[in-house]
Amino acid sequence: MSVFNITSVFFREYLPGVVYVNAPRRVCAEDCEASCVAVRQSLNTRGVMVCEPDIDPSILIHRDPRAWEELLGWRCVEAFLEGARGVGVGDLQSLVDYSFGAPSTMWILLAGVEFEGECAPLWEDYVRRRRVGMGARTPFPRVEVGAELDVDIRISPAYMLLPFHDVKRSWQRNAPTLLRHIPEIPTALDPHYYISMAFPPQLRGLAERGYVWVANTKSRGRRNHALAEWLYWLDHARMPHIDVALGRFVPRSPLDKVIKYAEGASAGCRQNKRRLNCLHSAR
Amino acid sequence: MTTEVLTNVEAVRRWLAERGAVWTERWGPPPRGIYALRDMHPPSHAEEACRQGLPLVYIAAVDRSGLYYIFGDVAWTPQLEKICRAVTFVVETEPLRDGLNAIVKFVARTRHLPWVSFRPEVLRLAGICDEVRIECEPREVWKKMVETAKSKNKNKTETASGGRTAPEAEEAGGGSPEGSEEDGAKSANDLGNVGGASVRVLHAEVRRDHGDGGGVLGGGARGGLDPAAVAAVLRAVERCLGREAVERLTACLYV
Repeated sequence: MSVFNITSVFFREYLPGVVYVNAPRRVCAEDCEASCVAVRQSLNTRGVMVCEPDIDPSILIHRDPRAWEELLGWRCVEAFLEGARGVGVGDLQSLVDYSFGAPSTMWILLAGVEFEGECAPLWEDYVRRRRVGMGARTPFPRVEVGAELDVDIRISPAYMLLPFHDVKRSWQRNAPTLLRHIPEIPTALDPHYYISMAFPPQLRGLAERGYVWVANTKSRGRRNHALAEWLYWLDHARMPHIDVALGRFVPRSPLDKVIKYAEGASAGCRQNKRRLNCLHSAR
Repeated sequence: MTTEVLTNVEAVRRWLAERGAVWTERWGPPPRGIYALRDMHPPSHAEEACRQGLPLVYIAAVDRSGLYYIFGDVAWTPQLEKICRAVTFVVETEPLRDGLNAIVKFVARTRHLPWVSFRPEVLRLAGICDEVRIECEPREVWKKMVETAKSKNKNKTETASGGRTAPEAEEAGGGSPEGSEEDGAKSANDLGNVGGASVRVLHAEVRRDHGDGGGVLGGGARGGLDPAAVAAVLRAVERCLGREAVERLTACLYV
């Protein structure tokens, strides 16, 4: 079977200047079965896939299908699956794996999805305008640890949702320490695998003192929240703010236990405001 | 004469027809979308072709969501409108991966482009990274592999030539293992490593070309070329002309 097809609707709407057409009409598949029913439920009146996520797009690098179910819901999952079907993704697990392995391709695959709800602006920014917040999402509690690190990483792992080559200068300016060891972040090919191998071991070792400790160390007057996020993400392949929201944060040291969970808190639409109710100051 | 940019309308038309593709063809610049090539030629590269009256050819693959993936050598700019004609082949890809895969391979073959010329996202979506993973890896990985392979190859050549230095062995045409099938495969791998990471493409490409029914070399690395000689040439090309030239040469030979 040919891998190409085209519909006459397409010609009418998009190609007014067509001079040559070789297009047998092939519209709806007769084999549209049960899976299509679920898809239809996700369509709005204009036939566009609609999704109402309860989380910011950084869930796309959160390798936990349960979290996807809980925070995105099946309506979103179906919409995402529909978008990714063309690249061989067939179920939630493979969708999570694909997204985790190629986060910077997701804005392309989700181009046909429409977003609603509180988190919609963040998704619209990502999918339509290719904009993602650079900073850390997890508002780690403030603790005076009195340590200073010679590290300059102010970019969250979530920034890998954008193609590296499109935002290379941001990486160079805001994560020079990381780029010294990993000059090219492979945002489209298993970044977790590669970064785990190349991440400076002396920085990985800091995690033993706890993510909260790392987050509260300072570099040039700033707290290292982003570094703590990287360490957590490398250790668990999950984003810490999502784990916190779902009560699944894995402490690495006694100090990490100061993180408390909020009952039913919204996970992370407020990624840049750092005021999640679920986290409390340890002081 | 080969032009700097894709101008052969008939070649694209013929290929689409051969693939059994369904497409539309229209005169005009490509729609807005994602350019599939990482580094496009500047518009000045198109001027010569335009002066000769040749059109700039674009292939616009469109997916179900209406997103266009544009394959062309020059990013279209308004300044080109005055001097250039453009023809755009709009092809709907379904499923996306297979459609993109076919177009990426066609463009790579006809333009003699190494995979690194394409955006990693497009390669990933096209499934190229599953076929030739190394091509999607970061350059740092390449460098390490090339260095490791070079040192391995050096040791091997020295051993094979009985203590002669590598250049001497190359001049004598030695170092090419003969014998079992296994040895042959091994030497093919070594060849690849010498030429850089793109070698692995070489094998994958050869398989693909058979599938497509039209590889340039047919037998590929296992064919008539002496791996040691090719390795020597690739080394010389890298030394004299740089890494980019090696990539282009391997792509040209084996894609």
